[in-house]
Amino acid sequence: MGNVLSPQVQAQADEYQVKAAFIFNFAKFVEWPGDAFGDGGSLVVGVVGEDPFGGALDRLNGSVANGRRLRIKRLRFGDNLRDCHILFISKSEGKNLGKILDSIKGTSVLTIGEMPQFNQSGGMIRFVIHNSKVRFEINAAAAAQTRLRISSKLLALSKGAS
Amino acid sequence: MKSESDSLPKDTSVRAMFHLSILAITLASTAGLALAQAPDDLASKSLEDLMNIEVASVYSASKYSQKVTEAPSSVSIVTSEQIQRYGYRTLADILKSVRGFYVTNDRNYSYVGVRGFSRPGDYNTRVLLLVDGHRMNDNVYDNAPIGREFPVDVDLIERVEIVRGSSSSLYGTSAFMAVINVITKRGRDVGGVEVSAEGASAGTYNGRFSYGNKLGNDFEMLLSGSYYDSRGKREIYYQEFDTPATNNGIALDLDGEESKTFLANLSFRDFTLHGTYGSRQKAYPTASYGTVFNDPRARTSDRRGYLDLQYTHTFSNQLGLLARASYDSYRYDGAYVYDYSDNSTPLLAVGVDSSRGSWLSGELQLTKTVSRHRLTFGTEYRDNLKQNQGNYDLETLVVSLDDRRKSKNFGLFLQDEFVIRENLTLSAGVRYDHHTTYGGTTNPRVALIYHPAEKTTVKVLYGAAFRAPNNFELFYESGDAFNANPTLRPETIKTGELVFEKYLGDHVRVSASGFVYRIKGLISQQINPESDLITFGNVAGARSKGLEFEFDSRFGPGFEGNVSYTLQKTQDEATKETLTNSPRHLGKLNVIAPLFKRRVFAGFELQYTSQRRTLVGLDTPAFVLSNLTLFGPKLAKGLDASFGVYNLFNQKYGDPGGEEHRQNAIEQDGRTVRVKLTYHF
Repeated sequence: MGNVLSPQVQAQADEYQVKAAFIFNFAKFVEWPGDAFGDGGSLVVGVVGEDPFGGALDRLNGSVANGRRLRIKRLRFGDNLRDCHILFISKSEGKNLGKILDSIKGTSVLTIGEMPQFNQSGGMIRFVIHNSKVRFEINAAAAAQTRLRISSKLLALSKGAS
Repeated sequence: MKSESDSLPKDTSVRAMFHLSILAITLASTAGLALAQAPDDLASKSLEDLMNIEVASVYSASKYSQKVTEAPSSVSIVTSEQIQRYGYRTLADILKSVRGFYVTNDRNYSYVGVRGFSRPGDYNTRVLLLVDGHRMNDNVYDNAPIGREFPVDVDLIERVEIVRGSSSSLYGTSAFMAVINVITKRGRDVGGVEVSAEGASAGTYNGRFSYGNKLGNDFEMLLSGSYYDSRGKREIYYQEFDTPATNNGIALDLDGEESKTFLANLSFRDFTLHGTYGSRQKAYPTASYGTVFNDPRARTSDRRGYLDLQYTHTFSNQLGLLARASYDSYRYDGAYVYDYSDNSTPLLAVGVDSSRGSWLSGELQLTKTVSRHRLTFGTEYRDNLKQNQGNYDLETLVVSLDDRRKSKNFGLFLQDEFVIRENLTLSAGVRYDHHTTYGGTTNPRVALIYHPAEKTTVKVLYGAAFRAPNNFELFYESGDAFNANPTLRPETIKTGELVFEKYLGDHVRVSASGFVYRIKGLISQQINPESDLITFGNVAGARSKGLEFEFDSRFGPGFEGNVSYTLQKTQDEATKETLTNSPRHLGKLNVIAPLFKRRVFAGFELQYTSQRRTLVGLDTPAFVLSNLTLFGPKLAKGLDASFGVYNLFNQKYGDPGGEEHRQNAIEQDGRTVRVKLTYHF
């Protein structure tokens, strides 16, 4: 097992490629209520604010998770965000975080972010880097206010759960 | 007199560079358009696997893994994939490709220059070379081996981390201009048996056999051996020796080289055992140190190896522990033929320089994060069991030097990475070193890392470092070439640097940095006016300042490009004259492009070095080197093939010679080719 102190390190990857792969996995381990999907039935992944993923999210466009086709959507503050299933809120939206979260209250949008105050402010999944590896923290209380069902596996792997 | 290479028409190289730049830019822009939709293999990984992937990071800047943008230094990384695709043959090849680095070769050893600094007679003592964190600089010459005497085959390198600036606050002596950490592969990276064979110009052959795997959950091993043999250039002409008595300046069959290297990496749970051994013989054609020209006995031999046992563990309270113990051995033998003939009796004698070094080292390091502080404490102890230098006559065995030494040193260091705000980090460290030969020294390093916006980094870096005089500089004496100087003191450096980095859009990174380095008590070769022999002194000081720019891009799957430029001025503090072997401009261009539906990768590089002052005050002309490698991974089942052309346009160029050379400049290789096949079972 690699250790952060060990000079001999693990294979490396781009941070946001790894985070994009996490988002793909979240789509598999979260259950949305049936009425959350429109006619096409696709699962909309929105990015609000500056996109840090490079092309990594776009490469997920069209791929299938739990029988639903992923569709990537770029959004700005002020756009209607309620049609997303997953919403990644970029660090660039720090000032607007409260308003963005307010605007999707009562929906089943899984919110993901990286800002330090993200989960305290009511976000659901926050990425953190620990020992150069990507980890995530789940705000179970925020998720419980929606009709989303987060699998126990995801909860078990989240930081602080073990 | 100007050397022959001085008369080269300069415009051919400039024109060649221009055409190649156009080619590279065309390749790069096509790459941008091509941006193919590669299957995303990361997305198919499980959550558990994803949680084990390290995101791009550097270890050597802080002695723990951190993101490059968070490191308290200016960092470059060369990966195993780049080594394959650019066809790098030695560590020297790798370093040449890095922003601001240049390499000088005297047809025996290679010497690395950093920030305009490469002193004649400096055996790479001002960079610290590590293999998996293990110090490679030996205890007699402090030499960082970067040619074939480096005991690790470049095929076994996972990546090379290059950390610029002073790092004595973490590493002690020699971490003066830069730290280079070579991280080797693990068993799973080879994943079976691998056999590699290559043939190259000048009767050069190289073979490697490796076995590596992860066996069960706890055990992993990699074993590898390589053999290299090169006849070298048949005839090398030096006009300085162009007399009938010295074969009209032609050194015949005096460029041969042979090396053997072995590597073992074994790990069991938290324990890792690393072992390397390398032995290398080289003939030298330059008749250095006033030896007899064109004598077939002129050769040197270096042998080095170590065993390093390491234990790393992270306790449940997140306390990280690293402990290591190691044993190193280094042996050098060099044959130098001198002419003692007088008018009546001819007499040639072979003097053998023979050095034996061995040392034990121990290291302990603890890391713990306490609220917003990441604290690292470490200690290091070295017992130099043997630091012997000798000289004897090969025939009579009369000993003219028998210098036997031992010494001990220890260091203690502390570093704190303090996250002041989410976008502002202060990294501060200090190390105390004590050495039985020259006493104590304390060296700090402070870095402020600021992210004013997403994907923008500003680093303000300051560091102090020292380089202890080595035993060769202190105690080596020979009636023909050297005077000892046991009064030498450590030389010191203070480095300041401002780094700006920004990611533009998805695939482009730009960086700019400005640096000022100031060296005091520089240990330098000089000619003792009384004896007319070479002696080392803490003479003068030097100052280097400069600007560096780099543009890095990954256009799409398989494509990448890098362009860098360094402008620097390195002067003697007293005379304000530019130092010898210090180019004012360095430019690099590196491009990898996939061809034929990604079946083959073309790796192309250009390296521009401006003119350099030589010891006699002449200049070696500027030159552009270009290398092209075609690499076909999995051309057939399990087979990788590589074809490389080095110095593609047969550019004629020379590197400045040292005090030991009569040559003003030492001419380097013209165009050479290499074919390499690697089969994976």
